[in-house]
Amino acid sequence: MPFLSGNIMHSEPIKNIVIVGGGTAGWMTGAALANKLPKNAYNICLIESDAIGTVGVGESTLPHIKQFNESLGIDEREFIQATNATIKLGIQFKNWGKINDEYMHPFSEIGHVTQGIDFHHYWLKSKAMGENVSLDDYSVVAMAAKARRFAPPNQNKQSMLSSYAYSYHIDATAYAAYLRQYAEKKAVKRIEGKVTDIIKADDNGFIDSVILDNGEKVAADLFIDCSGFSALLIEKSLNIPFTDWSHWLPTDSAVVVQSERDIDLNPYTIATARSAGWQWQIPLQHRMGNGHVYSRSYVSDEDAFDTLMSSLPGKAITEPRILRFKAGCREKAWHKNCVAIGLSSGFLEPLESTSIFLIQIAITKLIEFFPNKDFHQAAITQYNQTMSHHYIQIRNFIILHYHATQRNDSDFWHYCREMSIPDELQHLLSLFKEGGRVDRTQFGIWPAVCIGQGVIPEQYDARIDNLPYDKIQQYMNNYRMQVQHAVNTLPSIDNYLRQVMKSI
Amino acid sequence: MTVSTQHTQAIENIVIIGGDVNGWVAAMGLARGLQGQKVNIFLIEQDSQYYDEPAFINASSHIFDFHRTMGVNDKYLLSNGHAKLTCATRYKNWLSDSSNHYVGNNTFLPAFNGIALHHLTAFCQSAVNSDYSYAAQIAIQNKRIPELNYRKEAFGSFNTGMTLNTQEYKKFLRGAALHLGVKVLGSSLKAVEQDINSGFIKTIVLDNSQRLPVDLVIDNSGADSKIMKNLLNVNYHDSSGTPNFNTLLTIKREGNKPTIDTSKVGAYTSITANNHGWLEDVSISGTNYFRQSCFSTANNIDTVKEAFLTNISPFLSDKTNIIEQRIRYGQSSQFFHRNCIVIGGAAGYYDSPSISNLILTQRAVTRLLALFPSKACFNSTINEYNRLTTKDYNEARDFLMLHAYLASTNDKTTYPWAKTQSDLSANLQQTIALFQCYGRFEDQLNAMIISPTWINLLSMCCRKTASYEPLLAAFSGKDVSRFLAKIKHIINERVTSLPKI
Repeated sequence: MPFLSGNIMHSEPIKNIVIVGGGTAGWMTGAALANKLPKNAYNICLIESDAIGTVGVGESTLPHIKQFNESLGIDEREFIQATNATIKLGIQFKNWGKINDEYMHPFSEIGHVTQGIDFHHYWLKSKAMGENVSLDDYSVVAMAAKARRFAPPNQNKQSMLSSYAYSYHIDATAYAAYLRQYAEKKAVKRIEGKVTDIIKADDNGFIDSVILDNGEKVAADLFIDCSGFSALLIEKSLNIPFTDWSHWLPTDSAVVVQSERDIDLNPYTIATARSAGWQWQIPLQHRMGNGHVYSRSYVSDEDAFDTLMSSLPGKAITEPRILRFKAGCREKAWHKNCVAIGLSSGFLEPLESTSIFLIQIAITKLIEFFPNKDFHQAAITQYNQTMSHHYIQIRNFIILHYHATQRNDSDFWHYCREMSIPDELQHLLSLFKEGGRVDRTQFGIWPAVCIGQGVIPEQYDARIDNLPYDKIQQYMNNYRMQVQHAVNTLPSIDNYLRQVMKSI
Repeated sequence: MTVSTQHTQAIENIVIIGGDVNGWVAAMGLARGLQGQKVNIFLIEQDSQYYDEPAFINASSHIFDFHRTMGVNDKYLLSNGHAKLTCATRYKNWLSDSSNHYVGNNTFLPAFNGIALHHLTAFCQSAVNSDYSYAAQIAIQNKRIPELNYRKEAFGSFNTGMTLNTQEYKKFLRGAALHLGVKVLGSSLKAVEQDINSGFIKTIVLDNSQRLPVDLVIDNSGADSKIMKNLLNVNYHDSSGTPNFNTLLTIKREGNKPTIDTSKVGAYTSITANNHGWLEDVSISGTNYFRQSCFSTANNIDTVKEAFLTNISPFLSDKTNIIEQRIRYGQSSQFFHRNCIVIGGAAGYYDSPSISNLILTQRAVTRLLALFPSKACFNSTINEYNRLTTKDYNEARDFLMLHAYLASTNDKTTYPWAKTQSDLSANLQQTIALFQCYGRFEDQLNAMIISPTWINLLSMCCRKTASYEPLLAAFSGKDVSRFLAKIKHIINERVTSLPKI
């Protein structure tokens, strides 16, 4: 391939890419690379073994997945059908601040900035004046979710129904299968086999090739480690350590089971705090995903199992499985010619449905910093910095959920309340606690979570006291009515999904 | 859930110390943002003697964000000739002697199969970036900048900066501020009284014995600031890294007579590099201005002035007309401390060719309104304000330093004030290293300076090791050239049809 410039030295482009591991991480990567990289310039292989199970959970997603699918040209309806998906408007958190508390963490800001002041300050003022209305009531998304109604956002920017996002609950295994079909159509070669050995180059320690259980040797220029917790390449071969965050996030196990869904379909995930962890309920079209995340130091496997099984919304339809994990992050996601994507690069419990999101970011950034054979350190450093930043931001947000509690009914919650937290989180928490201020570059809707868990600012924006209270009352009442009115115009989630499943 | 009953009061009295343009930006901005609140804003004007005010400001497009937020009608300034729109910058003698490089205020450039334009021009080594910039061509061809609705096209979009007559802009803001209820204090600051326990400034005492209770002090009294530095002992860090300019030399000449470059009428700001620093030349309010940033001491000031005159001769020869002003690159170690906030020269100074120091003040005021404290000035608010403002100042410093680094890449001349890579911050070094490998630049969330602006400058800095997106190698050079030729043609067609200035 001739370069037009004579006097600039360019190293060769990468030709062969090998992805080790299937599952969501592997096939998302394979599909995205096959779609993005210029045709015929790259060979992409994915090595997976039917004998190795995938984690097989991770069903709740974030709105970013829409962009991912769109960039691959995947039709939304087709996607919903293929993955038995339902719509997700947010997560409802129960019993986190206190037992019997509940709040919605919606996919949108709550209320509107008014006269330069964030909406929740008006809510705080109302509260101080004796009003007892939940913050949820001012969120079109939260109210729609609770009323089991949904339509995609309105294109008209003036509408109350224009500024929210939504995502899906999906069958992750079906999603991987769907992406596999997509990728194979775009010439991604699937190789059945288990990696038994890894050959590294003598001179620079780069991975040269992997050896499979059938003796086959697969060489490549770039390796993507999607081998899950095993981290065959990034850890076992390249020895990149795992930074342990379990002192901040002590849960280390999850017992999971699929059940029938004998209750109405809710367009939101439910996360109910338990004595030493929490339980998820994720509705798909054909079943309910259930899981109890817990810490073995505080509750036994048997008790955790009982808690889960005694609170299913329908009969169990799979064998319950136990997964073990440790919260943390690979020190470097990209080292030499190996990029770890998915569980091999880090793990954070799915409290805010971030696993697939982190995979998506990793893939987007890999494409953004796509190397040639030089594997320039500057790009690798930038990639690692960015991935680390995302992991840490999300980690801090999850710690917030555990730490910002008034629960003291178990040793686990006592630990969470008393533990020292990362400095950055301390700063953000103080920022909200003292004056109700929010850093909007953070992940998630902080006023929803903080207020939802009982972190009430000591002082609302003092300028609000200069506004006549009857005007504020009027504004709040009107707003609430507008929210209700807007929600009532939406179809039921059942009708919406019925319509989606009917087409095509 | 019950709300904590701790209640602190709303701020009632704000005093701004120092009435240069930064002071009036703060006055107008706060008055507007706090309209309808029971807040009294005072400005001590006479302390203006403690800092130097440049004759003109080349403000970046951020100024429009500020004006929009504040409801400022800048059309008045534009129609009176006291402000001018620009859509490009001309770098003269930066890359090699007598070279002219035009850089458009691009916000969007067309991509080739998802690959950004600067990769394409690096790929086709002979391609000149300004050929593919709508904004640069408008400036080069001396055309009038189209109306707002016509600055966004498929073949490129751009924003505009604004060159301002500082005194006129200040008058304008002052008028608006007074109209909004800001009160001018004619007397100077004599003393302050602090609260024994908190150290907060409680009372301002003026030379005429007037005493003012104060809840929030905006200290705009220069780098050797009266309150923040001298009373509250918060240090100002002179920047050791930046080019060690400490002087601005300005000459003005009334009337629109020819300047050094008689063809220069285009809508661009002009920066010429020379041995002493850089030279800006501007026409505004029917006046020509020449301004040299440089380093001077008592010993060399005459030499520096001679060189200045030589650079702008033969139109001017009288060196007694030169206005000399001092600048201090650097920033305060804290921007908000106790109940005092620094702005303007007291906060820091990192004026660079396309991002003016004014912008830092305007962003600070907007930020202050968003985080507006109560009388208690919580630590968390102070920390957050400092964190965000430090980010801005660091970014401005890095942008300035990138200019100093650019000067070091000059093919012919070694500028003594140029900086090498090792002089730059670690962050900036990483940014350059990343760009050097495959022309990459990562968007930062909420950055003050948008990525096309960084990419413009980085492209110039890294032009000798022009590296580009590896994915581009899969496409034929012919296709890329064809794409570029098409863009160039479309832009040219459009620009040709625009009226001249």
